[in-house]
Amino acid sequence: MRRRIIKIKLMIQCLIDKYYSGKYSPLIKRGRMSQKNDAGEACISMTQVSIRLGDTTIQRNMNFQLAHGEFVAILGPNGAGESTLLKVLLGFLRPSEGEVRVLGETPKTGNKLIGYMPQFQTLDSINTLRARDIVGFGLDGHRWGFGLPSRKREKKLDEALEEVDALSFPKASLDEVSGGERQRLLLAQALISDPRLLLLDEPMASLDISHSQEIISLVARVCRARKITVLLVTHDVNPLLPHIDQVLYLANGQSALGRPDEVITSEVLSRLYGSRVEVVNALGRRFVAGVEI
Amino acid sequence: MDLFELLHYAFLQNALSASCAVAACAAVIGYFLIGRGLTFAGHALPNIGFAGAAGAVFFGIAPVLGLFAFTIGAAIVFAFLGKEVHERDLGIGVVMTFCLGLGLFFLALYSGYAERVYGILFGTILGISDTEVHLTLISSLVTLVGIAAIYRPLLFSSAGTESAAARGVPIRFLAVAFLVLTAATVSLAVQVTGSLLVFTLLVGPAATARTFSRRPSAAIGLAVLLAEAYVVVGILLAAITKTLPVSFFVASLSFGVYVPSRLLQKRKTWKR
Repeated sequence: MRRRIIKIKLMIQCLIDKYYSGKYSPLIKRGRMSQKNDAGEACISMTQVSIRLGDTTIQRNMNFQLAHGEFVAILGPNGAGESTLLKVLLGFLRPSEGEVRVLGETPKTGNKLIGYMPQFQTLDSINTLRARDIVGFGLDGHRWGFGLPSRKREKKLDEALEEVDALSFPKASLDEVSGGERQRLLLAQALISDPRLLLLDEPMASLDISHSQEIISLVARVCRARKITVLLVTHDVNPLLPHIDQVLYLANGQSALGRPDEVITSEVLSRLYGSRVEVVNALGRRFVAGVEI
Repeated sequence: MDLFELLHYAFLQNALSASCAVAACAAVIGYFLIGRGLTFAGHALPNIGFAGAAGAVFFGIAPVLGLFAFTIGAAIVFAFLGKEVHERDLGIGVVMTFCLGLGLFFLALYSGYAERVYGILFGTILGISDTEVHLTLISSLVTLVGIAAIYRPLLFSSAGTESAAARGVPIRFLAVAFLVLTAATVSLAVQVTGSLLVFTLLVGPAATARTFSRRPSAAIGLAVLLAEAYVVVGILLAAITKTLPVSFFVASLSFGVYVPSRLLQKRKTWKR
């Protein structure tokens, strides 16, 4: 019964999204993105998608569509599949069922129209490289051979550093800059290839409140200025509330997409978790309280 | 003896040209070994190569062939040991000690001159033959071209596996390719420094260069210069003294330059 209600809600949401994506697409087309294949198609569309990791099913029957240019926060308890969902969108992982379309295509790694900022970098040798070189990886790090310095490349790097306000420390290495500056540089690396979709995996994970705010407003600014879709995984939606268009809440193998005030409610979250969850509004912030969270 | 006179000897010319080629490869490979957290593999590969060389000696074939076979085989195994450093290094250690045991086994069976084995352990660069020089020059060239071909994606994947993979960089292929090139370099470097002291040429110059520059190209360039200086000075000193081995000088130079540069770097960070 509960599942059916969520399904109906999702279907309605899909219809709303389709309406919006249709409505906004001419606007988007006029912008910097004039790709053929997204004249009418959503940026991301999931149809009956199930995601399995080993033996555990992380998401069942995901159905949603995201229009271009939206800023979406992905929320949920640890292990609900936020990072895994990003991996599916990147083409690292195939869904066990259903169809995923990203920018009009089946996800495949190496798509330069998708910018990605992982939560952890496995190797720490990145810490000793210069800011400029790290950002440069986003431009041509995937190309074979070694690149020769060119004025055009330098100019692009300057622009990318400027966009994230990092022009003052182009030669600093990551172990010399603050956590916020580090995240800004990695963001610049993800943005320099001119992506249409930006996937950020907990960019505020190790930052204090003021640095989190800084990253969020930077991401919001870039999202609006470039009219790109942003999916940002986070555990605290509050600092994002003034900026985001939608929330994708994942929990207990289920998902719900909608405006924050539609999704982060006691009713919807209780259904997702399958147990009683209370959303408390206090001081203009939302707090989720429940038995098993 | 006059240094100038010494340079006319063919054995010294052979030693210098082979060593310079090997030093360039070792320095470049060393830079990436450090960046990828693979220095333990850089230590293990020559020891594994020792088993191959000892086996080759036992079977009466050229030691360098045994070196290549064992180190490249091990390199491919290492590439599949995963990226978890602790787990991988444990695997490398187990493989390495098994190979050392195997080397000992071959030695016990071998009844010829122990000198050849001594040469594998501590280097035989002053006795290198013309054919070996040619083989070394060609292999070094192939290694350098190989690294140049994968330079950017190798650097990118060393600095962030996930970001690089998302951009379509073939992580696994690069891991295998890089370790195979490392194995080739190690096999060549064993001739110069011997398998016990390969680390000094492989990681010493790159570690020193890294304290001076953060720019990959600058650090690699400096590492190559240092490595060349170490082998040239080491060989000439060994030739002049006649009795002291090349690897002793190379190892001492590598150590002697690394320590002060490391101390200087410490002070620099302190000031910040």
